[in-house]
Amino acid sequence: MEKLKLQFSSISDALMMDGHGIYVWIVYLVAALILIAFSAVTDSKLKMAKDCE
Amino acid sequence: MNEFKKLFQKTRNWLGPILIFTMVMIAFPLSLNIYSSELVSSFESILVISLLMTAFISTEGIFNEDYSDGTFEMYISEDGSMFQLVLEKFCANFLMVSLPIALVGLSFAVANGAILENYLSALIGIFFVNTILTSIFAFGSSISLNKGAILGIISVLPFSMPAVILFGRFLDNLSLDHISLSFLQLLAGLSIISFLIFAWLSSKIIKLHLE
Amino acid sequence: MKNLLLPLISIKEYISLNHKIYPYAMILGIALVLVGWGMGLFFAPIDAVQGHSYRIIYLHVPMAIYSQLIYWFMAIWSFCFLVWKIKIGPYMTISAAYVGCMVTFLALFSGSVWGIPTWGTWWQWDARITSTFILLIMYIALLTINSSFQNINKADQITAWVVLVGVINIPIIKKSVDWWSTLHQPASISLSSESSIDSSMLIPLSISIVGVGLFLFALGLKVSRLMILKREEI
Repeated sequence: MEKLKLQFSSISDALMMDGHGIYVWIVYLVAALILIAFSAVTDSKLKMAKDCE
Repeated sequence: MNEFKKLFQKTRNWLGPILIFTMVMIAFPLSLNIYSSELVSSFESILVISLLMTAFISTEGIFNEDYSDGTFEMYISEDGSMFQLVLEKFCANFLMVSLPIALVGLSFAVANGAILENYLSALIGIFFVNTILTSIFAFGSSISLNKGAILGIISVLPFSMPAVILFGRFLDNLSLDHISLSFLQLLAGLSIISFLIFAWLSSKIIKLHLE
Repeated sequence: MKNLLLPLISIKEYISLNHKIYPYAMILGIALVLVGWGMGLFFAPIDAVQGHSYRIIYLHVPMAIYSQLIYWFMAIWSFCFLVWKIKIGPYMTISAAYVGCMVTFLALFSGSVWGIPTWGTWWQWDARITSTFILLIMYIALLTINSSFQNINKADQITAWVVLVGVINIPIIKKSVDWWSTLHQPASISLSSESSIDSSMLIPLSISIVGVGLFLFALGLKVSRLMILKREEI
């Protein structure tokens, strides 16, 4: 548990992640975008369905 | 016996898939240099893909005619067992299509110089795998009775992958002469199970279509 | 007991239960995902072999777990629908299929990107990748079947049968790593034996798994509500 501490000294460090940042951040960004889009599309369709009632 | 006669009379339905399989097998060496070593090494994958393709072509319209001309409805109204009818159809298909295809596949394997240490095992193996694939695609055909073949194929294609993997291992072992009786028993067991299960499922789905 | 079973029989009861559970599942899910991913991305120690790229694990593993779990969920509901004609069965199955399709895609996508720095390739015909790809095709096929029939009851029943037949693929996916030659490592975490992963990595991973599960559950609830609204007049 004691190993669980902030691993980066600056924001750019966290973004770069020793050259692996591009892979890590792309995965998380795309996943977040897809999950949010899925939720938003369902919400808007729900709203439309309710309006039609 | 009745289903066997019906299929025999419709030459296109049983001869068509055999001819297509044969044509693919002929086309394969034509696309390569006949002295090429690729002829032997890529034969296995061509055989698997051809079997897969022929299985869905041979079962594409297996239930369509009986469905559209009211045979199924009449059969149900006469309290006939749909499962039995489907089993008969499957059996007729295996004898008229799967068995000849296994023979054609084996003869092309020999002609292309594939290293098969035991021809009888190869023949039995190809027949069993073809039986599994045909059962799966016949089930797909029951799903897409009046919706075109594509729906059935995409719904059941994923189920055929384990059979394809198993057949690949079978051919690998065969070329190394490592094939054991237990492998053939496994294929036989799987083909009997898939034959019965998919026949039962197909009969259920056809009844659903008729409701 | 009767109150618990009522939502299974009555769509109206299900909708009211859905409305009650949804906000809690959604808020708790998002909070846990943020905590889990935050801890995993910034606080968990670096992996000695893979470096920082291993941090994709906090997204990839939950997605991979749920891509299979969702199929089991669908299979159970399909079984209940076919045997006991439970009314909400098809809604649960199809809404789970939408979520499962998205989750399986994300599992494949995150795995592919992770493969670039780790294996040097984004795709390999590895047993687990291939079988997960087949699972994605299965989800798409199920959704296609369900939308292909005018008669909704027929569509639901045929879909339920195909879901049940497809269950055979799930153990194959689960066991593929042990059975076939593969690039994948064996499972690092297990319920039945001690995990091979350090606790400082395991804690964020566990939080992510629970958080993603709750979030997906909330999404499923929302999709099922939409399907009910479209199909039935309440």
